[in-house]
Amino acid sequence: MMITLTHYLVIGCILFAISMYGVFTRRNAVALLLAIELIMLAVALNFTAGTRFLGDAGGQIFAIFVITVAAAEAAVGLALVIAIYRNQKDVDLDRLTILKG
Amino acid sequence: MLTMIGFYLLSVLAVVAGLFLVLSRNLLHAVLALAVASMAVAGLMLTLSAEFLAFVLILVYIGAVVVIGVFAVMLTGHFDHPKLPTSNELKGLGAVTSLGLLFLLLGVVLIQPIAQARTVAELSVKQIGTLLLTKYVLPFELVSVLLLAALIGAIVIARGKED
Amino acid sequence: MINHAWIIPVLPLAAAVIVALAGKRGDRLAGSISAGAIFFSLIISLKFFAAFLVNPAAKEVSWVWLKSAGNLTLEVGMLIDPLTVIMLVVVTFVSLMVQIYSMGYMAEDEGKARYFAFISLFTFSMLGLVLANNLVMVYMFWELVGLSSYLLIGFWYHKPEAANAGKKAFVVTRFGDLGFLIGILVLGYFLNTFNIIEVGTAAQTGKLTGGLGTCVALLIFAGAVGKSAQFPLHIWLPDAMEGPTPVSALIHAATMVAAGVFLVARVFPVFTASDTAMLVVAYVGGFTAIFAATIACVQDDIKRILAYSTVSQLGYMMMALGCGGYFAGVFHLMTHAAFKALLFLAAGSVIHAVHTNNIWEMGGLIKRMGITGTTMLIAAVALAGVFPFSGFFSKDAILFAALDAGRMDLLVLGIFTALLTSFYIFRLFFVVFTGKPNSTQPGHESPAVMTMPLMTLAILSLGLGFFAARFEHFIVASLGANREILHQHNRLVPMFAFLAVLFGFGWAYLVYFQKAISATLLTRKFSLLYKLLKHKYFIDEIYLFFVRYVMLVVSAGLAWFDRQVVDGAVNGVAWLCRRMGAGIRRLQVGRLQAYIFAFVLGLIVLAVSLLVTHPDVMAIIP
Repeated sequence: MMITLTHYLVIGCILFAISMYGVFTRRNAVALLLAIELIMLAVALNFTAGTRFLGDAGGQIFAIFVITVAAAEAAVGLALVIAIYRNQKDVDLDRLTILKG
Repeated sequence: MLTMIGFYLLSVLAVVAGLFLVLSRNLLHAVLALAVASMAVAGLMLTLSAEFLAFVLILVYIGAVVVIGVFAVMLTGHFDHPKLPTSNELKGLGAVTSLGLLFLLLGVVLIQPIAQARTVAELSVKQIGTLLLTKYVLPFELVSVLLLAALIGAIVIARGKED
Repeated sequence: MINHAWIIPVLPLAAAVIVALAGKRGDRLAGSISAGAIFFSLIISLKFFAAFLVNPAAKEVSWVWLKSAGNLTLEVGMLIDPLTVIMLVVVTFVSLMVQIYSMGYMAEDEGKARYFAFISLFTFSMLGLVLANNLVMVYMFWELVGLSSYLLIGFWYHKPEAANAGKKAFVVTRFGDLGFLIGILVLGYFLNTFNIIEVGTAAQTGKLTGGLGTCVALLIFAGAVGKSAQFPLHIWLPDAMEGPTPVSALIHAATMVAAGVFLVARVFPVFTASDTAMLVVAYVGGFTAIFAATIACVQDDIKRILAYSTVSQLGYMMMALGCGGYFAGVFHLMTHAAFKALLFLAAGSVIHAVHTNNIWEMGGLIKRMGITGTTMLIAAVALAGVFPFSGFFSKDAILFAALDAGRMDLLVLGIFTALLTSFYIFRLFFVVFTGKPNSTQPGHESPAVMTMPLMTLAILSLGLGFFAARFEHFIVASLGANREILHQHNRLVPMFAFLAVLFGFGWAYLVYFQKAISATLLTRKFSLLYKLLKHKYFIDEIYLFFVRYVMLVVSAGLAWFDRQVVDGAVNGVAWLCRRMGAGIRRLQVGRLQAYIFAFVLGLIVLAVSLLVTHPDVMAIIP
């Protein structure tokens, strides 16, 4: 039995779903950001697998971009968390509801 | 055969690390779980003969994202609060929705027969470099600007009002 | 020369502005400035009058003011013909007399400056109205005259009756003015001109015939009815007596109320073009004449008697015009201006002396107020129409006009009105000036500044009539067409008229001088009639009833509809939006993850529905 594209895609999907659950449920803003990083990871894996099995170099290139965006997002996201923490003394998302209608 | 064993081991590792990341009470553990997951995915990329990407992944995720994450956890304090629940009341709904999403994606992936390429493509570092500076030069530049903007933005946001 | 006519109205306007700007500081000079300006206006008017006596052809000068996309042009201009110069002289002369008189009458008043500013403003407006060469300008000055009248009626605004009377005058005349405005617009729409000469020519050449001509004439007549206090819009004039008496003399006897008559005379061809319109004018005038005269017989307030007398005499003029008696109407306007102004000023002199308006609180004043009494007697005789006083000639002209028109009913009506006129004016004279003096208010003669105008006007009241024939040629010339002056020189008419006057006088003499017949007995005997007259035929009450029970009820219904249904709909929409907002607002929980959750859920639903409905989308995957 060969390892096919489908195997990688399944792993990517599982990782994606797990991290989505994290995004839904974590109360800590830092944890939320980490879950989002995991999403990026899963996507990058899928793209890489695409290059390998579909013979398109674009997949890997795009994975590089995804990793870059993940890095940028991590930097900005965590800066935001720190800024919020400084203002609200809290990073609990359940209590950060001052934009409530 | 070796690849297959490697694939399954790394896959299991990645999924377990992912679950750990999402469920652990201690935030530092979660950050470490992200590091483990990153390494597992990097390993999977090696099985795909994407060495350059694997190293980049380790460099960026473990060298930058995980380190920033640790900083954030440390700076915001109380990363481990045993009294408070780690998750909100969306737990059940979130689990259901995530599972639904998983089944949707798996359905698409498994049911749809994907035409597998006969030849297994491999991409050398040289080729990637050439592609980035020729065919993909515009996205490359754009992403560079994005990165610069993010860098400056992060500094401005994190610095706050006092200079 | 015509080019300098604008100076006549501008002088009083300048006086009004100067006096108004000077305010209280100019109190002492206000009267002199105002009277001085009008004096020069009078001089210029007289020069025009002299010039027109030589050459009575109408002269016009105008500038284009606005040019509309069509052929309609609005002009600013002056039209001077014999009618205009007569009105100019009448207005400036009476205004001058009244202003000189006012210097004495208003000497003690706080708002002297305001008073003279208003009266100069009025004179300006009236002169502008007389001079205007097109109906739009006539309408503008018409309204300005109404405004000045409002201001002067309510001059003592701290008195609620005066303030109310001012409002009443303004509102009641508005009904007529609306008709006038519509008439002007209809005229402009169909004839493409507002110019009085052009309108006249159009009417004479038969462009205004049938329903349209009648309609336009009646609409314009509506304005005249309002201003000249004809039935049924006469109710404001008696109330207008709340203003200072000199104002009543100037505005509500001699000039402004005559503006309606003037207007009808000014666009006379429009009226002559329609027999129906002439008929309406004649009968409204005739009815008003007798109607107001009967009321005047039982009033107690000296000024109200004169006010109803004015309404009655204006009706006389309208009747004359309606019978085609152009000269008769205008000539009566002129003589009436003299003797009615005199009556009012004399009444003012009496009021000034005894501080009451009620004739029963006066009495025997002839001994203490010789000049006032004598001049008033002259005016009364003139009003009654006794030869050789001016009223005789103008009244005769009116009766002849009715005779010429073949309206015997109006002729009889006119003679009966003459009887009533004679009765009420001598009743007034006997009660006020003869009999036992009232002990509480002995009275005294007024200062020379007030008696001088009385004597001047008395001379005019006496002498104007002798120029009747001269005026007739002069005025009829202004009609353009050389109308034949036809009089059925019927000796019976003046004789009947004289008998009627004599009868009225005799009745008044018996009841109020000799006291041979008890006035109280009469009132008791004819108590129903007396009550009816005393309450002025309950016209005010009818209007009030209509307003209170018909208009206010309808208005209340409409107000309810507006408040409940219209506002309710508007408020309902607002309420709905607010409630919906309040409901939707709950979705905005402010929690990041709830939004992400909703977003992903939506995405899943979209993806699933897409896959279910279009399974072939999978084919795009290689």
